[in-house]
Amino acid sequence: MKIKDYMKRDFRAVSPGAPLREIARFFYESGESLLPVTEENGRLVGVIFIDDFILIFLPDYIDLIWNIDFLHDFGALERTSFTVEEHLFVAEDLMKEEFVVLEEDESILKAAAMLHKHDQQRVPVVRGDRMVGMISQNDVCRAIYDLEGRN
Amino acid sequence: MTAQAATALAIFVIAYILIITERIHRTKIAIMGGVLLVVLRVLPQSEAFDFIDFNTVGLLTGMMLLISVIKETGLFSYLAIKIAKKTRGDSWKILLWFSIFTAIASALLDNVTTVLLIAPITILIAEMLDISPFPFLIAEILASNIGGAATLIGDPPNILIGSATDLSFLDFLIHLGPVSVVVMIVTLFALKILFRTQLGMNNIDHRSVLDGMDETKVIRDKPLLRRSLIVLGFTMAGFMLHDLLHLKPATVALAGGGALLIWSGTDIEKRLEEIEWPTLFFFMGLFVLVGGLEKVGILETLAQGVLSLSGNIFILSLCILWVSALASAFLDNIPFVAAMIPLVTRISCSLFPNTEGLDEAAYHLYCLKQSFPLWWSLALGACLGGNGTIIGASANVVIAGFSEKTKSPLTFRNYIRYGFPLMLISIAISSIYIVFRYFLFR
Repeated sequence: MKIKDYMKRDFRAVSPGAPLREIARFFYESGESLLPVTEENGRLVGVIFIDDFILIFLPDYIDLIWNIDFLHDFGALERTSFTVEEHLFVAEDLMKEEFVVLEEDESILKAAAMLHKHDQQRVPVVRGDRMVGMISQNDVCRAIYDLEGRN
Repeated sequence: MTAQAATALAIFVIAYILIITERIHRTKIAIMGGVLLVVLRVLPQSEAFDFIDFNTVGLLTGMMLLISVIKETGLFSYLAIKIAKKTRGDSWKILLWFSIFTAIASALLDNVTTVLLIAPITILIAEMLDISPFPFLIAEILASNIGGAATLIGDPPNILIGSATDLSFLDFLIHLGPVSVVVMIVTLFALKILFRTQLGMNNIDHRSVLDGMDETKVIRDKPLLRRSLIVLGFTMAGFMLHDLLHLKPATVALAGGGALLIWSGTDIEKRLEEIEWPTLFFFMGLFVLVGGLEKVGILETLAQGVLSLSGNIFILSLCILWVSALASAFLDNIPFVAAMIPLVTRISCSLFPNTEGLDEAAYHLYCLKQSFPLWWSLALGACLGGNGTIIGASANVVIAGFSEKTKSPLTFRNYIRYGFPLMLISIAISSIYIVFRYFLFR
């Protein structure tokens, strides 16, 4: 069982210069938590995790506080607008350049193991350095019983 | 100078320079330096190990264990939020009460842990109120070092001095407590004037923001908190009475740490991970490095050199105070104090020779009592000197790191404008204190 037989080929990706609004729209509309960043020629250069995206709208010091259960709201910070961030960041500022990736002719079991090891629901699939699809834990389920595919 | 003495001196000087430049971690240098002294035959291994002061190491370990549990109870956050709510969002009151809280916690526990827990909440509250955290963070740096100076356990230099001299927890509190309180009051007063513009800005409409916070939510495990407080109480009582009970401070700290480990039912692996091993090994290596200098007689020569300049204990005390303060402002005060201790011991023995034929214990006590001003000068200089620059003490470095996550980070330049003059004032106050208490009204 090869990854290329079960992966989804109709993935969405953004360019390195994509604005935050476009990234937000992807996360909202797709329900995914990982967004691939590709260049025009299809080369995969990074991935954006939804957590890193949201983190830029939180105060920088938030992780220094052990426990924020006591907070009701962030006071003055609640009234800040996020327009500044809009001008400060594009996709390539948020993306991770070190990420998990799988080759399309690797086995589906290897994919299942990698997804488990790295605690991710989905991972981009490449041929050389070009992105060709996405493989997810859901696709692994399909592969196990060779259920009828949607693609 | 013998070849042995030259070797010991060379190793010490090179190690010291490497520690100051911070290119390699200080603990790695201390371990390697100690090992080299043995390999190059300055010290036999057994003697090298004898130089390690396990009272200091034990005291640090015990306190680290105790603190690692207390840290998790949420006690610090609880008190900080409670205090913030009481201030009703008044900037000056926040600065005042957070500083006092920081000073007391630093005196009773440890100043680095205190700022690790308080500074992030300070930043949060300042930003919630739409005021700059800058003055508050400066105040907390100053308060943590002033508070730490007040007790035997507050700051590593005091732990070293207490351990080397057998001065008790109460001695430190009685001799350093009053001057620390005065320095604290003057510093707060100075901060109120220096930051009058920033502190004058009160955004009244933001005050209700603090009322939304619920401090009871940070206490996740009430039984653990109760147990921690009981053990902490007994440990503090133990420190107060350790001299009376003929117990060393390390025994008290380890008793507290050990008791809480058992009573809290906590995971031992997790607790031991929280021990700051680099600090402990730094101390151990350092003791051997200084031991090498002691063994070859360099400190003896140095002590005679100092005494040839002046044999007046009054002048010597003030010199130690100011030199320690200036050195601690720019250098790590721990190796400085570790090297100064045997030096001061030798100076005091030469100043007060055993002419009446007292036995060793009685002479030690006599010598210690006579040289009180030397020791308190060293402690005050080393602890308060740390306030001089942003790199002067570990607590400063921690807060500076946190401040990088705010809009007004503390830098070497913008800190020194406040820290250095306030440090000089604190040392001036200490000078007056030393002169009055130990020379004019003794």
